Formats: sequence, C-alpha cells, structure tokens
Amino acid sequence: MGELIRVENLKKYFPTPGGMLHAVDDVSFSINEGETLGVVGESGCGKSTLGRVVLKLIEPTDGRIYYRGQDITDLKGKSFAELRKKMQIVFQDPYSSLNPRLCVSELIADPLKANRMLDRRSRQEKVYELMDMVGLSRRFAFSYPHELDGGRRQRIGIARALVLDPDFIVCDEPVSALDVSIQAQILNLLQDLQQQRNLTYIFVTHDLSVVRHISTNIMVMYVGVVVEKCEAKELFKMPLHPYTKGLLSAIPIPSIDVPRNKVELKGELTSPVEPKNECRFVARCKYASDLCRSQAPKFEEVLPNHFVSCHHVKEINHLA
Amino acid sequence: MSLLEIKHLSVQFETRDSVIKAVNDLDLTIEAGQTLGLVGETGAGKTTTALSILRLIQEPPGRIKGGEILFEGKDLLKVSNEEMRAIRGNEISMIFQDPMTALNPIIRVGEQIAEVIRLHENCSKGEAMEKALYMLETVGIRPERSMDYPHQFSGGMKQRVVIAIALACSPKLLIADEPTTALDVTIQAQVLEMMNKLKQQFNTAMLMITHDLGIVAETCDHVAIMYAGELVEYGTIERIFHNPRHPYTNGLFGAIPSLDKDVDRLRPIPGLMPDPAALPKGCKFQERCEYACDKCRENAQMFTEIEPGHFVRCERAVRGEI
Amino acid sequence: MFWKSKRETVKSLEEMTRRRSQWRDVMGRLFRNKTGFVGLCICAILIILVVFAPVFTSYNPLKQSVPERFLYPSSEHIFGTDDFGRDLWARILYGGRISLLIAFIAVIISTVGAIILGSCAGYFGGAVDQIITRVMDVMMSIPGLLLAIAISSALGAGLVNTALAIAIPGIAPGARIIRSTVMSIKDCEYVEAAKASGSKNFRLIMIHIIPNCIAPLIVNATLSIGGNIMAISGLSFIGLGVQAPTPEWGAILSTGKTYLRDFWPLVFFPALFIMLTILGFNLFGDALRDALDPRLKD
Repeated sequence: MGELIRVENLKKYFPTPGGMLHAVDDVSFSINEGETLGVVGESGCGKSTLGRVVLKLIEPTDGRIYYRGQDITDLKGKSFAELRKKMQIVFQDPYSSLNPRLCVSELIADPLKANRMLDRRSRQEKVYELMDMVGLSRRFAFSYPHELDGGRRQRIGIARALVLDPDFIVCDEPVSALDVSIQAQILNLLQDLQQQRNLTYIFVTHDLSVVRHISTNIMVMYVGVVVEKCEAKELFKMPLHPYTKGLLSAIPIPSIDVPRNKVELKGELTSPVEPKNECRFVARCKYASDLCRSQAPKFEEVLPNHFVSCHHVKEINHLA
Repeated sequence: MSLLEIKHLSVQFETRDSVIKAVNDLDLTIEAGQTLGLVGETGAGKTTTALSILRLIQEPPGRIKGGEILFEGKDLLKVSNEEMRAIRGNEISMIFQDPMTALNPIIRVGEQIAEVIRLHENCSKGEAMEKALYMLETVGIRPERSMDYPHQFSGGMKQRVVIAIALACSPKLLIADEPTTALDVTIQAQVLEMMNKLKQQFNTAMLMITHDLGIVAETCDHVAIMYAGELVEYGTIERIFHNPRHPYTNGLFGAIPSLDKDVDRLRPIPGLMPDPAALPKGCKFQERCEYACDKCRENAQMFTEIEPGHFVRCERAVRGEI
Repeated sequence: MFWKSKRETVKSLEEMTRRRSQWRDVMGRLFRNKTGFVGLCICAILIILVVFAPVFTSYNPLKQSVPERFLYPSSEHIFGTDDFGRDLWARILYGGRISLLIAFIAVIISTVGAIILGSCAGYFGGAVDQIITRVMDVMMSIPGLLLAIAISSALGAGLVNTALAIAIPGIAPGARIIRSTVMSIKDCEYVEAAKASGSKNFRLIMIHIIPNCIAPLIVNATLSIGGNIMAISGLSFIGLGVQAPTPEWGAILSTGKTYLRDFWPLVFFPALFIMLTILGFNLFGDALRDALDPRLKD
C-alpha cells in the first residue's frame, strides 16, 4: 500500500490582536492508503485546524501537502476541483453541519449538484445507494435534519462525504456529540466503509479510547505541535512523552478493578499566541529543566517508528 | 432516614398533540454523604429528574404528575415556593453542564459567590466576601482572581467557580449534571479529583448525572441506570460493574472501546431509544434487546431486588435466564 | 420534533424522485397559524377590493360635485365625500391600486438590492464589505424621505420612478440586516461542508446562505410596506409622486390633514386602510416567516 497523503512542515498561523496564533506549528506526517491516522489532543491544540489545512479548506501559512506524491499546496481552480472530490470531511456537530432548509436527499445530493455530476434521476439513485450503505432507511429521504436524531444525522454527514467517491476523509470528532451506544454504531460504520472502499482517514478526536480503537497510527498534539507519534497500540503500552502519560492517566476508565497510578497534570494549556522558543509543555511538566525553557525540543525517532519531541525522553523512560 | 428519597416520581411534557412521558414511576434513594451516579443516554430523563428535585421543571409544558420527593423527610413537591427558594442553593444546589453560560458575564466572580452566600446566610457584605475568597481557595483558584470577570477564566476554571458557588452554603445535596462534559480530559481529571475531595470535606451527598461510566467508576458509591424514563438497574458500584444484569447495562459496557483490550468490532446496542411520546407496551427496551421474548412485549417489567441492594427491571434477568 | 417523522410509508422510486411539495407544507403551516390567517385574510380582502374596485363602487373617483362637499358617511356615500365632493369610498378603492402597487414594487426592488449588497458584504468581507458598508452608512445618514425626493426629482414623476425613489433608501437598512445574518451563517459547518464538496461561491450563497436568512428578510419587507405607503404620500404631497387628481391614500390623508378639526372622515378612512394594510402584512409576514422555517414544524 502506497502513501496517500504526505504533509511536510505544515504551519498555520492566525493573526490575533496579541500577535500570531500558532494553531499548527511545523507538523509533518504521512498516511498510507487504507490506514487511519488518529490525531488526539485537548481543545485548542490545533487538531481541527490541522484537518482543515490538510484538506485546504484553510490555506496553510507554510509547508507542503502532497496527495499521491503530487504537490497540491498551491493548486487552485479547475485542477484542484477534481482533487477536492477525492478529499472530504465529516464534521463533529451533526446539528450545525447540515443545512436545516434541505431535506436528507438534497443534502446527500448537494455535492453532486455542486459539481454538476449525473442527471436528476441517477443522482437520486445514487442517494438511495448511499443511504443503504450508511444504514439510513430510505423512508427518511424527504425528512429534514431536525426531525432526525444525532446518530441518523451523522449518517447523513457521512453519506454526504462519500457521495463523490473520495479516497481520503478527515473525520473531525465525528462521534463526540453522540451517545455511547450510537457512537459504537457510527464507529463500526466508519470501519466497515474503510474496508469496503479502501478509505484513508484522519481521525481527529479528544477521546483516547475511540482513537485507539480506530487508528493505525496516533499523533498526539499539544498547543500546535506534535509531541508524540507512533503505532496506536504502542502509544497505550509505552507512552514516552510526559504529556501523553498524563493524558492517558486522566481518562476515566469504566472499571473499578484496575488500580491506577495517576500522573496528574497541573495547570492548563499554554497560550498558542507568539510562543517562545521553549518546549510548549514546560509549564505543566515535572521534568522541566533549563534546557526545556531555552530551546524547543526536536521531533525525533526515539524507538523504531516512535517519534517524540522531548529533550529528556531518554532519561524519563530509562532508555539507552 | 435517607437524605433524599424519591418515590414513584412521574414527570411528563404535554405538547399540543402529544404527551411525552419523560420520567415514569421513578424510585431513588441517596444517603447522606454518598454519591449516586445516574447514568443514561440523551433523553433518558436524567436531567428532568434532577430538575424535578429542585422543582425547576418549566410548567407548562412540563408537569410533575405524581410521586413524592422526600428531602430529610419533607416532601419537596408540597412545600411552598418560599420554602423551596430557601432550599435551593442552600441545602440542595446544582452544577450545570456548561460552565460558559452558568456565570453572569458582567459580574466579578468573587461577587457572584458572595451573592449566593448573602442570599442564604445572615451575614454582612464583608463576611460574605471573605467566605467567597475562602471558597475560591478551596476550589484551587488564587483569591486574587476574585476581582476578575468570568471571561478571563478558562473553561476548567469557570467550572471550579461554579462548583465554589454550589458549595458556598455547604449544601447537604449537590446535583451535578454532567459537570465535566464540556471540559478536556486532563482538566476533567483535575475537577473530578477536586470534587471527590470537597465532597468528603463538606460531607455532601451527590447526585452525579453522567453518560460516562468511567466517571461513575471514579466518583460514585451507587449507580442507577436509566432508560426511557425508568430505572432499569440500581445497585452499589461493585454490583453494577462486576455483575451487571440488565441487557441495557451490559450493552453500555460493550459499546465503549477499551483502552487495554483489542476488539475488532464494537458491540453497539442496535437501534434507538423509543419515541417517548409512544412508548411500547411492556418492557421499554424490548426493541433493542436480543433476549426479548413474548412476555417482555406483553408485561411491564417490575423493578425487582435480585440480591440485597441490587435491583433490576428485567424478568428474564431476575429468573437468571440471561 | 425529531420523533415525529410522519412520512413513514415507503414509496416507489419514481414517486420519491419527485420533490416533495414543500409549497404544500408551507401553506399547511401557514393556515394553521391563526393570527397569520387573519393577516392573510386582511391582505386578500384589501387586494380584492382594490383590484376589483369598479365592482364595489359605482362612483367615479375623479368626479367632482361642489354641493356634495364634506358629506358625512351615509347610505349613499358610505365613507362620505371629500373637499371636492368626490366619493371617498371610491377614492380609497382606486387610490389603493396605486399605493399598494408602488409599495409592492418598492419592497421587491429594495429587498433584491438588499440581498445582493448585504450577502456580498457579509460573505466576501474585507474590502468588498468595507466599500459596501461605507456606502450604506452614507445612504443611511441622509433622511430617507429626503433621499427619495432627490431621486424622484432627478428621475421625474411616474409609477416606476416613484417606486425606485422609495426603494433606494430602503436598501441600506435591509442590507445591514442581511449582512449580519450572512456573517453568522457563513461560519456554520454546513457552509464549510458545502465548500469542501466543491460548491462555488454563488451556489453557496444562493443555496446554503440566503434561504437561512429568510426570517429577518421577511420581517423587514413586511414592515417596510407600511413605511413605503407613507413615503409615497409624502412624495405625492410635494407633487413628486402621484399627480394631483389621481387618488392615492397618502395624498388623501394629507388633504384631510387640513380639515382635521372639522371633518374627521377624510383622515380616518385613509388612515384606517393604511393601518389595516400594515397590520395585515405584518401578521402575514410573521406567519410566513414561521411557516418557511422547517425547524418550527408543529
């Protein structure tokens, strides 16, 4: 399986009254076809912005984005319109991501109409085909989104993302607004679709148990930078970065048997506005040293295919 | 005597052409100093139950159809509005889900806390402010920040302020309606730990409303699982987590992706919650239950004690068939 | 509410390909709203009265008769007569044709103008927004009637010109309302979703943004109908709108003003009709706004 998406030194800064907000700062990664990259982090860490920049819904400040080896960073107009169909997004909020004035079949057909694809009849057939695929009963074809529950609405969002036959989908917290039992239905659906259609996902979420379940690789973000990236299971077995450790131990586990040694993270997120040249986690890190305060750590491969950006990663984890 | 005893509570919402039964014949007990977790999905009636305790249900369309809510032996549904106001915030207080909208944006946080204290306690402005500063410190905010406005605080800090307000009059019962849903995990962990600590310090009983079984595991002594306006299972946390008997409770546990075990596919509960305006006859969970039999479709299920302190609303589970 | 999906029956593909008649839905909701229905009735009656004026009166609205001046309402002249002895009922019916027609045309022109300018300013932002908003500010700093007088005297009298003269000052407030609504809708995720699926700007505005601004638009339009009728009368009063003998509600009203102390019907009846028009359109407009919102079903 080849590489589908590659991102190099991607940066997105937003101007704010206090200076530049570094929403995404120097992020690089690649995703192979048919795999899922999980992006986790707390609110404001830049994970949603990253997803949108990769799709070029927001123009990057700097860095390059490659799709199947082709540089798409500066692509515009017609040539980009074709690629746009291959890259889609599923949103977090199934309430605000659907136009309340369109009925289900119009919502799903909208991308087709926007691209002037198919005639009316075959469009409708395609809509039904997709409704079957995402498990949405055909009787809802002419219902409006507000008449449906969150789970069904999210199925509409997924069908809309699939209608142009994309091979890459950014899922921006697609299940965090849903109840657990419905959440599991949607996660299974996303997995089934991935297998059937060989889809590649970027799965943005704050829920670590969800991301472990669905991802091939996981990337942990903190205030705009990636602090750790490795294979999904390894991250949970052997987290190396102090932030990842804290994050993992903060998740409430639905079990009363597992004794847990909590690594409590004190304090709150550092501001992403005009960050200094230091480790961004320094204020909450118990291992912080002068080196951490004077220099931002590099993102390095510490173990095979396990990248961490921390000056003291080896000492903390007693690695050779 | 229990601190809070809800007996046969029924609440419904009446719209022009339908009656939505939000809570049906609910029984619930909270002992002083204990924490009860009320777990369920959106629309299960958790928040309605909480608001009924404080008599904050909007009427119309809402209506408390019947039942008793005994707080220290006094029926809250029968006391006067005046008395109820004195109880709210003083003996029973509530933390809402969204800390962003729970604070008045144009009043300094210190004053917001002091205001609640002055409302319920006979004290001077200065004394109230002093206590407000003490409360801020208790929830881990430096007292200097009492002069700040809510927008100068982050989400986690705001929720701490909300908790400070709720605990300011040392209530006997604290109702927390999804207090950490709007917060990040690391902040959630901080807030939960703080709540656990304060609960002991103030000896406050708590009704923790949540959909997250992980939070229940960390904070609660007893658990009540709610589905479509009814309790389906109730017991101590050990019983529910080690020996869940109702198919819905089992379903909830199965639907959560695990952090340490590998599963290829999650086992979601199929289908959706029934339309609360047209609840099925018999067991409310029948449509989604893999064990449903003809009897389940016919008979309403009784809330039965299967072992001391462990109640289940499922005939087949009671008979040990599941 | 979400659990009330009534379209449970599975139809054939052919039948379902046909778009469900939204119009019928809207009408159904409109008629269920009682105040809205009253408003609709008032509007319908007024329109029928003025369109079929000759059916409801046998008098010529222009025929003067000096001995019959200032007659109070009687079985012969149900609204009485005016200062030239013309039948007031006839003058109001015929006058309504002009008042309502001009008011309507003006509302349409100003609404369309407001949509175009407001949505461009709100959607594109930046320099486009700055230019449009500044021009609107300048327009709003000039009193509406004064601007209408200026435009009207530049264009000359006449039906369309009068409508234009009244419509142009009405664009600015409408455009501001739409601009702010568009700005809030623009950030909705569904607009981003449409962008992600390759919608062009024009399509985004037409399908995803403007239909969701409909509520403030309709309220603004129905409210401005009344104002427009008043503006026409103002123009007519100084001789720029409708010319002298032609009946028109505002013109009748301003004549009546002179005799306010001594002869009430000349003020009362045109004012009553203007008020009924405004009331009718406002009630109807409110109901229409609700009926057009699929979220408020039931």
